[in-house]
Amino acid sequence: MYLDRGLLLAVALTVILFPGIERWMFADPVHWYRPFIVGAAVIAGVYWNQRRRDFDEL
Amino acid sequence: MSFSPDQVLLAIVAYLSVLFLVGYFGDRGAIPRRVVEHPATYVLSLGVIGGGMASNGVFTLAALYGHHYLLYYLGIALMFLLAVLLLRPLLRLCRVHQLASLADLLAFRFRSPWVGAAVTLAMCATLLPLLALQIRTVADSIHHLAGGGLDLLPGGGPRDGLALLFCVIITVFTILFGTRNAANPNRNPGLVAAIAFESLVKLGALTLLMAVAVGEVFDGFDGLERWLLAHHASLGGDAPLPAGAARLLLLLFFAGAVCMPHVFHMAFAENSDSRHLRAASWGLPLYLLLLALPVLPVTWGAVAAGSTFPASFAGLGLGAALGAPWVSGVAFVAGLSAASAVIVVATLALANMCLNYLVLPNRLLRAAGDSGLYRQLKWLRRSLITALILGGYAFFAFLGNGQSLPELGFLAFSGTLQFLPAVIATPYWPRANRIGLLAGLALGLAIWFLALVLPVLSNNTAGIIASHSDDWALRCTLALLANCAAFIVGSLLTRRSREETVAAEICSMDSGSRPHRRTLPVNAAADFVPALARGLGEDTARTEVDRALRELRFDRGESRPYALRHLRSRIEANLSGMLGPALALEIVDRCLPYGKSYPGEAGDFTLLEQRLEKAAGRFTGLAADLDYLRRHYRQTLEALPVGLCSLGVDGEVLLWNQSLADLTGIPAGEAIGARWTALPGAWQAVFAEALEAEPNSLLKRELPGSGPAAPRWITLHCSAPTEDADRLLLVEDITDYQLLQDEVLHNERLASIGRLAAGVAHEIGNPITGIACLAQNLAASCDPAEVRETADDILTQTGRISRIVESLVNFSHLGSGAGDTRVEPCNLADCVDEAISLLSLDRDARPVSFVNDCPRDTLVLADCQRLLQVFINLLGNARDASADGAAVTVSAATGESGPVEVHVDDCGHGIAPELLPRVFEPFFTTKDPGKGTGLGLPLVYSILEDMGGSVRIESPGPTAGASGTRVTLALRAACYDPAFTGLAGESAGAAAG
Repeated sequence: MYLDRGLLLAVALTVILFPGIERWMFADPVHWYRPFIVGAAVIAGVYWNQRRRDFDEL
Repeated sequence: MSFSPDQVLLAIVAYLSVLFLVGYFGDRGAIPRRVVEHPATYVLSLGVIGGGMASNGVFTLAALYGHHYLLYYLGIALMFLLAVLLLRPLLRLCRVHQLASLADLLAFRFRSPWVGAAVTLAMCATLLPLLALQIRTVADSIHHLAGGGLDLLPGGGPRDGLALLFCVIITVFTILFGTRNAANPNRNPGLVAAIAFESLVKLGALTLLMAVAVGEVFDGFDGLERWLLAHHASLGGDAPLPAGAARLLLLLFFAGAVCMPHVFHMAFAENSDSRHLRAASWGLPLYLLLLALPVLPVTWGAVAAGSTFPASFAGLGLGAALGAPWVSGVAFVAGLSAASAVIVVATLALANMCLNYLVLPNRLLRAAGDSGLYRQLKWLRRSLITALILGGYAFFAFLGNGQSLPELGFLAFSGTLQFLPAVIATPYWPRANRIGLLAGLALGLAIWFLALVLPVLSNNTAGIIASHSDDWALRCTLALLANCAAFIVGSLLTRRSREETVAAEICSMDSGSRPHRRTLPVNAAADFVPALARGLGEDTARTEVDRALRELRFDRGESRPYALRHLRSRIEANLSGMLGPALALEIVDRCLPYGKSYPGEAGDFTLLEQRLEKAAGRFTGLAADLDYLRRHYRQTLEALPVGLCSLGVDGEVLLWNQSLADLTGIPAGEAIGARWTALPGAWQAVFAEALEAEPNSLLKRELPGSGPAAPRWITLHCSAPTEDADRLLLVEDITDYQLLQDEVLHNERLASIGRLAAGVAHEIGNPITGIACLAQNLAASCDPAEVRETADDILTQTGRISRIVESLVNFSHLGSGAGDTRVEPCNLADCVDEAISLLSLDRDARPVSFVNDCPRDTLVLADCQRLLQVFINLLGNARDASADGAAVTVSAATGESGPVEVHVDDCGHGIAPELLPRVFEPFFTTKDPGKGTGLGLPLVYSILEDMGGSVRIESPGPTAGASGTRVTLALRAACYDPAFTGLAGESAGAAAG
């Protein structure tokens, strides 16, 4: 089985950056929308990673 | 509130009617196909996962834990963001094998209907809290919206009556939705469209509520921020969720995204195109992100507006606090749409599971011959849907009002978490077996029931979620760990059955399934109907066979073994979608059992090749390299300038390259997968001859042309047969070569005639001179006796001329067309005499003495004219190599049953040993330049081969002295029929041929 390199990179980045991102997301309660910005960025990254790859095999 | 219960119930019926119409039009094609099958529709249909929990329950989580409510969305989103790890292999399995539920998947993987039954029962038990959650969402919403209830049941509360009415309505709609297509209950485009519509309604309603909260309550986002600064505690930051509990919640929702039956159904059973999962891997997280966005503003808006409703009904409370009934109506629609979608899809999925694993295994065998199978299935499914919804209602009524919506959701999600180990093991742990699975599931669910459900049922907890303790998380973790431990230990300590091993290979990500070629008890697609009728009834069998043929684009006359195997698999997959994999396997194995396997586990290469072709461009790393190599070698074989065919030990055609397709006119698509015995007549006969010929021998055959097409010449070279290896057959079109060879032969003959011209002139000149003298004598003679004598002399001389001319004419006409060898009995000595006679005409040639020692009664099977050419070439060579006056002897020896061996011996200078291997090469000659063409011996070789004989050269010869050469011809013998004046046996047969 071969793992997607983009996925491995994402896992590595998550491990490295998560503490900092978490602090940024929840540092100021007024900016309640920050987790959604992070979520949107993750979704954009997944979309970008998959836009050229078609894993259909059926 | 300004709504009465009747109005609300009417609104429910109206909304569900709209939902039903969307589904109805989706099924009927009134909604364009491109819309129904669009990836966005599929993604939105997956929004079914956000039921009452998403529309109402998360408001409680948000009120209690602030941002931690996002764990609900994050867990589900993670499963889809990482779709490549689990969802993709599961989708592959479900699509290929028509698996529509988790019970189907696990029963297929662990090859046991008991596993399917156990999973179904467990799933029903774990889903009861979820159904109760949906019912409570709607019932409580009606209660809050209408401010009252209906006392329908003696001893029940007003909400119970509302809930019962809602259950009756939703049961009717679920039956209408899900039981129209009995033949394939798992593909329901209308349902997909309706659930996608429901997701849009839910998202729109929540977004509208957010707009109301932000605009009406806070006067914009600035006002919201100011309110947040003033009400910091309302964010839930002062009561954080314990870290262990947060991780467990994430895992619960992560597992729910694949283990919940309604999500599984929409994600896998209703998937019309596997590429849609790619869109869902980012599309569903995006949808969940948008769905999660309004939760905090609406929660805070309800608090700020002074709502008195429970947190789960923040939307309703917001409307009530603002005095805006339409806002409450919007919130109600959000909850109603979410809850009804979950109930419809979950009960449909559960009903199919119950039908396949709890009902049919006991009923179907008795109803096997019944042609009304589809009708029975429909009514059974309707009954099960009713029973399941009523079961959910009973659980709801039993619980009372002691639990919050998130707690009910937690119970359901923690129950379905127990299926996660088995789901992960399906593609990733081939060693897992059914004993381990059942042990783990039993232990995990027992702990789940005792430690989590029982306290809730006995109302022994004052809100396990709201307690801010991680005690419940520890209990849930304990259940999962016990499940995993029992699963692993049970699997390691017990053995897998052979069926489980095969299924594990099929399901495993690391070891691809290798389909095998096996025999079937049927010879054509039409034979499937009577065979399957024994298990399904004739009508159902015919319907299923026709459906599979249509899907595979085969016709009823299809008889290729590969196609029949493919058809059997498709029928099993289709039945699996209708009856479940365990029952489908049992029926198909009983009605169409596989016969023997061939030695060496012969793979179904045709199917394997198709799978690899479809996976083109998807491989990475070493797999991509191997696929690149495979394609390269495949192209090499396809581009070979000679026809190549590979035959399995069972005679099935495994490879048929382009050259062979061009040569035979049979496309690869028709030949591959068929047996060679099914090839058209002429080719079947030629293949049979090649396969029975001596290993590694070269067979040369003429194929008659069809219609105006000219006949063709081919050679066939077949590899040696072995017990378990495929046989390779090389087929080469040598028509051009044959035509060229005949042309060369003709030219060579003409050249011989040219060389003989001087001798001919001399031979004819002498008798003509004699005739002239005799004619002069005749003119002067008056004696009748002398005249008669002179006339006789003239006739003798003209007879001599006629023989010379006849020999020349025969020789020149010999083999004037390509491929006209006619093997017939031929007197050997006469043929040698003729050759000697012709060669004697050459006055310029070296004077040698030709001796014909061949027995006068020896017959050989040959083309006389071509055999004459052979002797002319051989004797001519012998003469050229001999000294003046030397003898060239032709002799023959006949064995008892073997061929006739003809020896041409000379006493010449012989041939150097290093040159012997090359003497049959075209244009190779040992003669001086200009004296030989180098085509004589190659022609001899070719002619002998055409006649089924052979030629060999020894130098020095065994009897011709130290320097001579012996050429030995092996020719098939013919014999006189002692009972008839003609020829018998082999000769007559050969002549006819």
